Amino acid sequence: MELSLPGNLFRLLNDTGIKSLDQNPLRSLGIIILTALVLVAVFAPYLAPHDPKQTSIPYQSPSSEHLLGTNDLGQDVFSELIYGARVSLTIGFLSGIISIVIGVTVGIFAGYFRGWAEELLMGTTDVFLLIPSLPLMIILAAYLNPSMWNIIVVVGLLCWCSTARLVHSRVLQVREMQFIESTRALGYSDLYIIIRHVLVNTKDIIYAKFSLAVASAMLSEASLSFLGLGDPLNISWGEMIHFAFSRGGFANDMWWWYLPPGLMICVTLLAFIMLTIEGRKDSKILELI
Amino acid sequence: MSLLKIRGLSVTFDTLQGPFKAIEDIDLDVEELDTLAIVGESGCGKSVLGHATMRLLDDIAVVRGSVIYRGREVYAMSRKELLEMRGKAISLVPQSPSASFNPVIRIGKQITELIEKAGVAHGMEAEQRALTYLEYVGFSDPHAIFGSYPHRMSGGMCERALIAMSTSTEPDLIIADEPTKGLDALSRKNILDMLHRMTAESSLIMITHDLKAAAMCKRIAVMYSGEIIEIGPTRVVLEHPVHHYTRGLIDAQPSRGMRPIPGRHTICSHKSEGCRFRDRCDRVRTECGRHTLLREIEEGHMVRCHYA
Amino acid sequence: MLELTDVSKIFQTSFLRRDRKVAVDCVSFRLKEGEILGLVGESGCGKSTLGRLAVKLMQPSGGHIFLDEKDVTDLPERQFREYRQRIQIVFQHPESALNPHFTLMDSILEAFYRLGTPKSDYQTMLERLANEVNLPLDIVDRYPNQVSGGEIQRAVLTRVFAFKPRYLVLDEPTSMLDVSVQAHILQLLKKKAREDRMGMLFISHDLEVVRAMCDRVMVMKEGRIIEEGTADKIFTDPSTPYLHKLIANV
Repeated sequence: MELSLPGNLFRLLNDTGIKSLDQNPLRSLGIIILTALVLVAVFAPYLAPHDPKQTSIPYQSPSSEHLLGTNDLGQDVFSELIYGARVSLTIGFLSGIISIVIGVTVGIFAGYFRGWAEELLMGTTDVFLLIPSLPLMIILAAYLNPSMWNIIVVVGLLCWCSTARLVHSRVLQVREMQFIESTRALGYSDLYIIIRHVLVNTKDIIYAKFSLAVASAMLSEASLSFLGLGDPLNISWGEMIHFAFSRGGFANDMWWWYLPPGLMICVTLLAFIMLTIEGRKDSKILELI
Repeated sequence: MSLLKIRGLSVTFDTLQGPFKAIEDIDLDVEELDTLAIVGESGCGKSVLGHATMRLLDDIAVVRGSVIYRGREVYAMSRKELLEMRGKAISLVPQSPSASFNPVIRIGKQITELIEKAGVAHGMEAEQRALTYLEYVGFSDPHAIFGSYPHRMSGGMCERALIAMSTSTEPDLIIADEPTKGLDALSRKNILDMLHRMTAESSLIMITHDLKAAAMCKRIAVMYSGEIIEIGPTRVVLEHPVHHYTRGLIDAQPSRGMRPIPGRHTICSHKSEGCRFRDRCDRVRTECGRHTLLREIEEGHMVRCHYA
Repeated sequence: MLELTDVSKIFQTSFLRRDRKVAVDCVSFRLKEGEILGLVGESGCGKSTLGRLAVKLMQPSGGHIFLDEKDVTDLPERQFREYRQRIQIVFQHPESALNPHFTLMDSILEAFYRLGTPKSDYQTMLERLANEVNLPLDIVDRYPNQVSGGEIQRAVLTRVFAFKPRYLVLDEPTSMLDVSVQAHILQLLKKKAREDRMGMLFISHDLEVVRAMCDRVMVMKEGRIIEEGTADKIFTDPSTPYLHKLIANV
């Protein structure tokens, strides 16, 4: 006698979350917000009512002409905000990618090959984890030229450690599963097994970790920019707050200047975090029957 | 008055794909010091029955019917009464022993905690009791087990510790879910001996797919596709099985010729009419499409088949 | 013939801490084609390690492995790969036997890719193999958690039989399955051994199954083979007290 489930019963257990979005409203909301933000960033020139670099009368209150008023140089805050999405998202995504690529590579090789490779790689990770990263970022950003690319590299290179640890522990679990051994017995190479088998079984934490990495990279960037270490040629949301702070926006209570970029950072982070929320699963039933 | 009385118990899981009926209309009686084996293969709903008896499925399934323990309806108990009943009056020994302990707490602490929670003993006395029971289940050095972590023990050892834990509160009824699954011959023998000793003081429901293990119980209930299809005294059921599925199970054992049952077991969540085994039965006739009830064919031996 | 002579395996628990544990201690045996050789013992006696050594999923610490008279002990993995089609292994736990993110078909196809089967032959080959192991074709596009343990083991056998191996190591292939499914699969394996002259090393702790399946049986305890003989002899006239105890407990 064999147990066969009706074909459709557990179909949803295997998807990564994309197919069951209707079961997971928070993740859908995250995706919608992020898509909107990316579209805004891409189509910034068409959406922004003004050129963000163009100056007019400074310190204007919100009006129909300038939706969020103007800053100390008379630049339109709303347009600056739209262009800022480009900078912030680019920095976030690129540093997120750098940190994920390094973290996943280190974690997988350490976990799969064990032995001295593991001791060396995880030892290095531990050392990196011990470094207080924000002060180091500040020092690095201060010594290097204040350019967007430097910030991306600095943030990316300092954020991979927790990913490496997480991936490492998952790979330790996966490599003990018997299909890894039986695939080896079929005569496949380690590289094939890593790419085809280990990676797919780690992908859920890689996705989750990626969105968290992007979020934390954006936050680090905002912190650096707020401290005045950002790229003055590419104004990000963090830098907008920095200028609002240093040029009297806070002192004069001009909320339309400092509040919108802060809110945008919050909303974006929230959207990334919502992406990682897991949907409902029926796993308990599977154990019982 | 019987110890446990189950009437018309049905469990329906609300899955993402709609309702799925795991067990349907189960009637069962367990007397004081009775031992009952529930036999069946994966997917027949035997574990669900065990969990439903303890009322453990409330949040994930719709349960209908009644479970009466010593004259009290389990499904009408307050939360407090329920917590008191679980562990102290009825104990469940769950499947997969190594996953059933918290891996980061020492075995002894987990057992002591349960004893204290059940209010059987406290402090040093509870620890002493835990040690006694660890010795009782056959550990030669109970102190060593008391202080060790679950991940350092083999499956058989975990199972024994788990049984020690479940029985340390002296429950009236032990429900053991697959206590011998995946164990080697010696550990299996150990576990069965131990459970046998336990039955001197409490009733036992053993959920298993192993007919050899089931043979230590006084009665056997065979389940197929969410229904009990045959129930009776062990000797009668094993030696003179009536339902063809029971016969198939017995003949499939390696010592009995290893004859497989043809066809495959599909969970029929919608097909409630008629005999559920009819697609695989070699005596199937048109009558089998009609619904049939468990009928008593001799003293204590009930079968769900038109030809019984 | 698969022959192991004085094979040992010593585990070192860590790279830095040098604790040693002898899992397999100077074991020798021969497995002829078409023969089912049983290997029994308690859990932890080293029988699974021995199975892995025989297919070279682990490198033995000492001794030699001969596959059809060729010493393959020290062949590096890259060169041993061509021999892998001759000897295959099936594991115990159906729940981790296949990649949970692959459909059964994907897993079976892995064997086809390895063989270099032309794409046009996939369908006929799959039908032939699935028919052989009774794997229903309508479930091959499901994922492992949507089918039963028996169906997973059938898919595993499909994939393994695609190689037409001469030797097969079976590491408790049915201990997690229900009796009637077990009966199906054991009958199928027995038929395969008899008809295709496949040599099988059948590792199990279930003495009844071993008795029903095997021609010869080896008994293992603490890494050593303590008794060996035909199945009838082992079960009717055990010579060591340990085996006596094992058999008495069935």
